[in-house]
Amino acid sequence: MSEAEKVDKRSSQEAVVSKIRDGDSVLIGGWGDIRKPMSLVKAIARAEIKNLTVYSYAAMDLDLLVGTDSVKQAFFGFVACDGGAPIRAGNINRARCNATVDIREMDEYMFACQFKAAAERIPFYPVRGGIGSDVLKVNPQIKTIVDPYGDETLVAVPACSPDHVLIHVNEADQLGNAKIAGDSFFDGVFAKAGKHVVVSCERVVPVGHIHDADILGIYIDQVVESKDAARPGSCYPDYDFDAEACLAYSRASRDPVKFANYIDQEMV
Amino acid sequence: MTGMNMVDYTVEEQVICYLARSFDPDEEIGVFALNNCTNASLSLAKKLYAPRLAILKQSEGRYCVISELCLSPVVGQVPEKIIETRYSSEEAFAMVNNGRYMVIMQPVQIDKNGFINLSLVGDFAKPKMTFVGSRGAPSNTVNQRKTLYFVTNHSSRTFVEQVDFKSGVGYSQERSDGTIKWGTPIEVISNLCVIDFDEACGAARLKSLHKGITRRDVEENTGFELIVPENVPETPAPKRDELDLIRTEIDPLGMRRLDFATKENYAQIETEIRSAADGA
Repeated sequence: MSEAEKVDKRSSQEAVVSKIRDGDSVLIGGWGDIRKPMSLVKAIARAEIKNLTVYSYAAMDLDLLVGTDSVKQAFFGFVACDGGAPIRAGNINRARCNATVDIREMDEYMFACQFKAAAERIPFYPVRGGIGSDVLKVNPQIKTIVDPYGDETLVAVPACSPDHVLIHVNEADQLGNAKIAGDSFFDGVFAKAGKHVVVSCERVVPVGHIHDADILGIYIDQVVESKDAARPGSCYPDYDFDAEACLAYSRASRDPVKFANYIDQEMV
Repeated sequence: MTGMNMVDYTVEEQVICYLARSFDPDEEIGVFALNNCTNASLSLAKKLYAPRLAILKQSEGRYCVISELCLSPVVGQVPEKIIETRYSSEEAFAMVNNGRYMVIMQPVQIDKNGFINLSLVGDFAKPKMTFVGSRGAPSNTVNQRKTLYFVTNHSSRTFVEQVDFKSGVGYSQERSDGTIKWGTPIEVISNLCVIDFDEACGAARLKSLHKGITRRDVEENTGFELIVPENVPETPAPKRDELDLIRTEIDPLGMRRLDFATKENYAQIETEIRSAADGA
């Protein structure tokens, strides 16, 4: 056994969730219906952790946590399914209309830049998008800055370092080196921004197997092997979204009673 | 209006051709479209008017540039043979920030000064209804070379005096004082007409009417007072070669008919498309 192989970050889902406390902040990787760490999301809901602040390019992940009353505040760039899965976020819609969750809507790129800043250990990231829009009005914590070399006014997106980052990947080794077969979206940035960073993966592979890592193991604290974890969303090329299961979720999320029944069945 | 030289066409076809002709011959940008008519327009533009356009899509969770598009009811993937290359999200946002990206967005609401809302109806703190969220609209509307919008259901619920949430930036103080340099809204193409904006005051103005549509149709379905010039022309008619390409190569199944469909006829059109697809 090589020295490297003595380091083993493989963990159980329970060991991951035991580190997450009421009131913590959680950044969820993936994009809409694509490569969401749903097994860890469900484990959080099952553990009845409450008052979370959740950051996500959201779809079913945030919707499920809102539906199980786990979320106090949420930041998102969108609630949508770019991969085409028929997921409707009924719980988020209801929570917004009843004002039960503090929603901070952001521009898509602005959302990523708060973590880019944290990943590079700089206090803010300058972006153009947001000037003149209501995204700044509903995020009073975000300030603007004037170009010190010229006169353009830019948005200074404050750095954000979440307590936990959860990412789902195709393959990881026990050191945490991770391979994403499709688009990695901003998951590589997210991994560098968080305090406690977890990858769930379709397969754990031997050290040395990942030749071209999308996320280096040095940023990863725990690795959970969790096949089919992104279902009913997609994890290309391992699987496409499951339209039937997405529709079943969407129907349930439209109604609190139906959703409670759905959760009872799903969470066993 | 029949005769040897007249070509019969639908409003969808008129809109597709109008939008296709709006691209410059040397325009070399990535363009993303979100529905059937606008996607058909991009393909038509690339074939006839703007060969350097990079038509962008998402397929199996990855962004790609495609050579041409044949509209199909298959969701989430495009045929491998039309994929020129794939690119990352990082590249996607780099295109936006570099001013080489354009997405033809479909607003939930648009107001008389070209602000759009993709987020919600009602008050932000306690909305009546929610939608996808602002997405990239705040960035797009300050970075794109120009901004075009597409509205499939022109009504006074969509065209409002003032949007409930400003997702995309219209003609604002920041634009007139030079704080915002790019992303100016140029036109809104709806199922009834084309609307542009008076550059001096930033107010929406009726530019042309689609086939069979009257000024009154537009005014009755617009929730603010449009500038209506004395002479409003008809939106230009499609040409024979454009129609041939749309009907035989770009959209032989008639997917374009879905965009302006009503609640009453949507299911029927969808069934016809499915059976056409099965027969093909």
